[in-house]
Amino acid sequence: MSLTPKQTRWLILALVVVLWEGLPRAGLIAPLFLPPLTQTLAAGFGDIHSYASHLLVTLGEVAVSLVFACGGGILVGAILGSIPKVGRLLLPLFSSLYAVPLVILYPVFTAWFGIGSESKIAFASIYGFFPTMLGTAAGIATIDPQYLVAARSMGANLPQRILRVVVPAAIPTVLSSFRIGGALVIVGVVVSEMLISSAGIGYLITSYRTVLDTPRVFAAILLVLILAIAFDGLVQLIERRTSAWRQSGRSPVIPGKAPRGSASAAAAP
Amino acid sequence: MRTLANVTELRTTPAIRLEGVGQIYGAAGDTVVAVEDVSFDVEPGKFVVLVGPSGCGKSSLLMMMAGLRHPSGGRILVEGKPIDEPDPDRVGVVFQEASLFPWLTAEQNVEFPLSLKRTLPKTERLARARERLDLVGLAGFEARYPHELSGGMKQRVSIARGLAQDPPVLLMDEPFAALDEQTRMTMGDELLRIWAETKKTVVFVTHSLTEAVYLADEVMVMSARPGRIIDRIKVDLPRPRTYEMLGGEIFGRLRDRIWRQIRTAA
Repeated sequence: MSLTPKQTRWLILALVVVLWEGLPRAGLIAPLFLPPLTQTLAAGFGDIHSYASHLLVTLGEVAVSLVFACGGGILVGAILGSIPKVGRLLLPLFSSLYAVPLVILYPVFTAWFGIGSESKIAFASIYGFFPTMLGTAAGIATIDPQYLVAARSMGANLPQRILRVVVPAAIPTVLSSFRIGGALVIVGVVVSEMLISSAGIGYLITSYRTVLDTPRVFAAILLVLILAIAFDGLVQLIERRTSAWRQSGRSPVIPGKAPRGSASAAAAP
Repeated sequence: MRTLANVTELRTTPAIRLEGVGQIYGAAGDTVVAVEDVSFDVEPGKFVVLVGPSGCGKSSLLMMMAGLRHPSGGRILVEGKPIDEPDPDRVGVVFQEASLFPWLTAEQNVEFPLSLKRTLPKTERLARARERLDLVGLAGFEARYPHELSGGMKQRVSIARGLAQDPPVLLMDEPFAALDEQTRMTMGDELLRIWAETKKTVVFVTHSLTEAVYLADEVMVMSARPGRIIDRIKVDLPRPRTYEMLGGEIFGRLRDRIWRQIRTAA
């Protein structure tokens, strides 16, 4: 008997669930460090209104940051990727900035924007901006020039070459950088909420942790996990819709069956 | 009956005419002469093959005929009119490989050049695309994406796309270079069939001398850089060409002559 990768993944998930419930119950781990799963869920559902209102704050911050980080990242990346001179000038600079732990800027942002949502949005936007921008720039710069020559030979003018060749050719790379950038936006929002704030899931985690209410801490962590996985699933869905042509198999195959190319786990915090 | 004057008139408008065409690369002081003083006519309906050592500028020459590059000197006429920019109504181009758009199906790839001008309604464009795919032997593969097609099939789609606007001239830049030997032979026969059916003027660039002789009415041999036409060889083998001719005496003699030219030119 052998399991498919999918079955194996479900099996691992089931094992985690069983261990999460079983280990604290058996007394092998103190419930202070890891409360049983059922207790965590009960804590979460008990405070469902509080969690929902804080989740709403987080979701709002994530949504606005996504627009700034990914919208801006795709726009700037497209410019840097399509104008080689500008790209050569600025890309090395941005690449090195990307290596800086941007979290050091967060105290400055709170000084500038206060401890409300604005500072979270500013931080998460910049956090998610760099990978989206760099990925988009690389995606556009690496489009096979042969496509553009072919389009020109068929009489395509510049707007047509951009809209009908560059855009569709770049969609897969842009989407995968959006996936990474978006995950980092979620990280950025939650981390900044944990540091200095007055609302949001990250704020809940920190405040429950200081009073050692571990079940509620874990309930909040579960919520963040679900949020990250949901975002990743959404982008994967868009990827499947828009990049059906991009397959891993090189050999001629029967259309209709669409195996996924890369399957990486959600970049959860 | 045609009068003699009319016949002369017809003979003086070649499908393609090159007059002293040259191509120079690079900035002032550091220039490379890629193509130098190339002049020739291609009569309508002829199959002309360009051969020559690597880097001799045969692809450059083809790109200039396609209007994709401007000659540094001289001029190029297609159907009697200068070609300053790509004009798919006069010239179709087939590239070596990977020029099909992977995000479009075979049918959409062939429809692409038609959709740029929007002179035809979509249903008619798609009907035309299907007709072209049928011509190249790909009926039933309309909905396939390029990655779902073999190398030979992809090049069939490229040919169908090059013929989409029914141009009188088809330029082919080493279209079968990436194919294996067997597919290449089959594609050669297929191309000759399509050529005979559509009566296009074809200019075909290749590295393969066998392919050159097998396909051509006339083989033009280019010298190494700067590229010039150093020999024009008429291939007077009967058509349709058959596999048996490959081993024949005429075939061997022609191929030897081309090879000697290229060897001394390189």
